[in-house]
Amino acid sequence: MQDFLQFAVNALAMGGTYALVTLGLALLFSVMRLINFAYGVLITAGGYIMLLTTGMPWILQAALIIVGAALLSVLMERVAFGPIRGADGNTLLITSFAISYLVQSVLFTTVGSRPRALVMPDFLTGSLSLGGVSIDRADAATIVAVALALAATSAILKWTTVGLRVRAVAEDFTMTQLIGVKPGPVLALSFALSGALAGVASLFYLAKGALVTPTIGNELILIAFVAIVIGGMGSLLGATLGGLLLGFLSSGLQAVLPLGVVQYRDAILFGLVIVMLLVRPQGLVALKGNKERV
Amino acid sequence: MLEARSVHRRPVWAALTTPVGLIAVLGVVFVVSTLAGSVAVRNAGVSLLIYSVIVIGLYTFAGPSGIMSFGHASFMAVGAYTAALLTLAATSKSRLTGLPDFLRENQFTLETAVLAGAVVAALLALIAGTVLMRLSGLASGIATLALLVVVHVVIAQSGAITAGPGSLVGVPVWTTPGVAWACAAVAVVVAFVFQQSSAGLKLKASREDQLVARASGVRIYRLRLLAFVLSALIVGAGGALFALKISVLSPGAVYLDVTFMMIAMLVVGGMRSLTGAVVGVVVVSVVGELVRQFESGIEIAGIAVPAIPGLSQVAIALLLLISLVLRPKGLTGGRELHEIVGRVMGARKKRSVSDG
Repeated sequence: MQDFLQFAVNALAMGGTYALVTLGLALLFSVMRLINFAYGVLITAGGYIMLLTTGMPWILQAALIIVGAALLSVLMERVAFGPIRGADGNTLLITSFAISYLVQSVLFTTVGSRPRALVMPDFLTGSLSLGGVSIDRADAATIVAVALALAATSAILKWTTVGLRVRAVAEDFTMTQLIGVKPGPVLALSFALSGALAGVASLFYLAKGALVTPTIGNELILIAFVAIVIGGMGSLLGATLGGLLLGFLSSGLQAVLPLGVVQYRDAILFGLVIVMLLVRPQGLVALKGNKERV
Repeated sequence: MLEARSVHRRPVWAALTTPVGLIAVLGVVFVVSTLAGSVAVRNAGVSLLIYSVIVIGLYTFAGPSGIMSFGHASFMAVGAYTAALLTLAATSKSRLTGLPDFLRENQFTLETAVLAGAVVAALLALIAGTVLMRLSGLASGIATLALLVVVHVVIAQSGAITAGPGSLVGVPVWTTPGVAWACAAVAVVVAFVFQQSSAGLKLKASREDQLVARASGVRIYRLRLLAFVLSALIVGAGGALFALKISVLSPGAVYLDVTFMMIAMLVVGGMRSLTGAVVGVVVVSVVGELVRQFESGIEIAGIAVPAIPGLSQVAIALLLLISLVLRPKGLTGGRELHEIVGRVMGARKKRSVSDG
């Protein structure tokens, strides 16, 4: 029972981090059919902002990281994705590859490829004991933060006018154009929100290893691709659930797979992506009218 | 969309300008890298020729089918590892306990390694393709990326065969400029013959309009699979040449970076023509090499520029971004060499007629 509780908390924290990233990716996908590989860059950027601001109070660092990631995300839209809006999905994906590679190379030339250690605050290190169950502090903090971030995002999408427009554009782009919704602010908000989510994810994702390298975001982003395919790319709810599910799936496989197979866990997960795309391309949660036409 | 230019018929032999011209251009690279006498130029030339093989391979699928693959580095990886394991000296691979005895105890030739790399990659494509070729659009883009990760994880985690996340050290450096040029020439011929063949033309028709092609009896899935396997065959050979040049092979050397590089080259040149593939390789390699000169720090007009490592990657990423925004169809705009020559000649003829 205790083992199971520990497993559940761990999986929930992991899934929660994935959920932030998948929600951020799904936001962009639903408004402009962009699969943003460069999203990983925002996670990495969070790490370097933390490195630069070492010594500041954590809460200030957190704010800088979230705002910084949001601004960077909007910048990407202004410079690269905006000008080629409406291009087909694979061209957008190639563009995001290019941005990701560009930022990684710039980081490589400026700070070098060497891993740099991050200083984590006390409440993110060690573990605490809750009724005999030992829980990593980082996991507990992650779960709380994820819950807050998801609540805030859905509040913005639900109760603000521009949030409503984002949802409308996601549902039917042409129709919203016809009734006069300007795409500019909608895209800006989507990229800003999605960037902020990456900022939050970065805070907790990097807490575990307490290291940052120019390519550290790539792994998370590849895992998030699995999650959005499973959950459903066009649906914000589906993507979020897909993220959570993947946390359980990947820690579950880690626990269940026999020795000699367990190291191939990621290969199994990505194999699952191919099967999903073939069998249920709309994901577990499908949104009407947003199916990939095959 | 098909434009008027393809309706206007030129003699059949005119199309031969394309493969002959491209092989000649790559031949210049071969001659320069052989005669230059500088190790750096020779390496850059061999690298350019190897990338030509790989990018022509990628084009063979992506061009006629119109589907971008993000997973072709997996064929390169499989070709590279096959070639490396075949050509390592027996003493260097004795600790790879997962290898069958005949592989572990023998060292094979360059020709065997390149052919085996090509065939193993093609087999992988045949198996993966039966699933992947049923998908289109973005779904297929993500699925090919998933294939890349699957192959990468399997290679990196199968330590008993591939030395795992570490490296295979001491792969013989056998890829000379001549070998690389010969392979690139074969790749040009194969890709050209395929795209001019009935199968290639039907595949192009399905790219322009899937429904009409299907209604006209084009079996899209089979043709895509054929192109995919052929393409993997070429990329696998390229991967083998790659392994036989870099001497130390690790899973990371044939993963995301090379994926980016081959896509950048194809897109910059123009993914809808064979000429685009070769032009892209030449332009990206030359720009990369020129910028690389600055990396170690040089002096321009008496001003010392400090060393900036990784600058050429920055330049290539910028080049790709600029070309995606300003010239999404690539430098060639999807035209073949003979079409470009034809247009230039046509324009000249018209001018001389109006002058006279």
